[in-house]
Amino acid sequence: MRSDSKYTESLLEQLAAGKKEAIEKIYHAYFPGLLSFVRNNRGDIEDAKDLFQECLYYLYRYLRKSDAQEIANLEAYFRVMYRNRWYEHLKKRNREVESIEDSEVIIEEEDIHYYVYLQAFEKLGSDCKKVLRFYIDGKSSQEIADLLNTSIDYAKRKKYLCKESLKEIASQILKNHLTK
Amino acid sequence: MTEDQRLIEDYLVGNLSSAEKKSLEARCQKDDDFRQQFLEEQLIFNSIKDHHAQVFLTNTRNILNSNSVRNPRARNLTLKLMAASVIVLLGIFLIWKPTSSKSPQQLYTDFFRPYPMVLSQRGDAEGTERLVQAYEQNNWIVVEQELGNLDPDLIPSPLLDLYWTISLLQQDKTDKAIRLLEKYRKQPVNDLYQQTLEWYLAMAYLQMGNSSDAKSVLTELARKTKSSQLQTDIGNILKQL
Repeated sequence: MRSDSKYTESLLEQLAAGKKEAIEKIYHAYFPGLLSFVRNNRGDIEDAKDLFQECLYYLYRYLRKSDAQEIANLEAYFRVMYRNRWYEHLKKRNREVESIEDSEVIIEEEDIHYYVYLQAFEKLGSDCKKVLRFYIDGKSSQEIADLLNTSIDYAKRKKYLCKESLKEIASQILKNHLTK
Repeated sequence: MTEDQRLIEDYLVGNLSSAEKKSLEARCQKDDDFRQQFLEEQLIFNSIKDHHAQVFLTNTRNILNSNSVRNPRARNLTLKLMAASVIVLLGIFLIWKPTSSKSPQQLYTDFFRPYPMVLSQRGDAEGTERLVQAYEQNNWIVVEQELGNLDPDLIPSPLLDLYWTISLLQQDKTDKAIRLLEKYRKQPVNDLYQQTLEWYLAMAYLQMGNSSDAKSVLTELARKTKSSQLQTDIGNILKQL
């Protein structure tokens, strides 16, 4: 991947906008290195895919924040981020790890929880996604009931169960991170 | 749902008056537990709302899955391991030849019975009648719908969840049934319902083909139940599993 600053800037702009082309470019540039690192550190290809998705998401979230600082060396930034995240995962699995590199790449606990909820939402059934989106859009229980062609009590109960499912899936994801 | 949860939801969707909003914000400043609850609800709310990030994750996952990384060495090793496993399993089967074992799904079919309907005509008589009738006629879609229509104050929530589970299991919505019941393992209720809920959790695991979790729930249940019938059923399942 080219390393000049204009190219990196434009790539990161595209990534912040969620463009698939930017994801592809970063994948081709950094995934082989990430995969080799994970395999050399007690992981497999599925771990590498999860780690890549996680780190790319944190990069994307960072870029979308209004106070995001410029990233001068994307390759170094991404490498430090995935190495540190992987060591964190290994630590949580009670494995001995090398010391974590000092860096300015800090992932907040809140960002991690947010990412877990996004993953959990992705895993929900389509019915639940629909109900929860109605709720987020500010629709009343009566309106949700009308849209689902059901009773108001059922709509309320459905919304409650879907939210509980979301929390349960999120807690499973967190637990798997700890015990995998 | 608790009153606090309802309040926070109303705040997040913008259904509170400015006075109510201020009061909630003031409470957040003073009450640590409430603030934690608020932050959690806010996180959930924002993540559901963040359609942009959801699309981003889906695109990333699609790219990861469509670009397969070639690794012939690993693939050959996997094939060799699979072949070795088949030979070992075949050997074990030929030596032991377990004549009496059954698949978990078969055991589910043998042992699963819907919990008796104990609701009588209470509250919304017409709704309850429809529920009872649908239950007796094994019309599980209607049962699920009518349970949603029931006034939650008319029926203890473990019992409601129990009937809910039965209707889910009968419709092969096993994942949902398990999620519904697993919470009772973490937060047990009184003995009247707890053992029944655990029995149906074991049934759900069997339906899913998850023998090890089914065994673990049944073993624990056998230790604590005083019902001889239940102990016999559990013994029979464990023997054949």
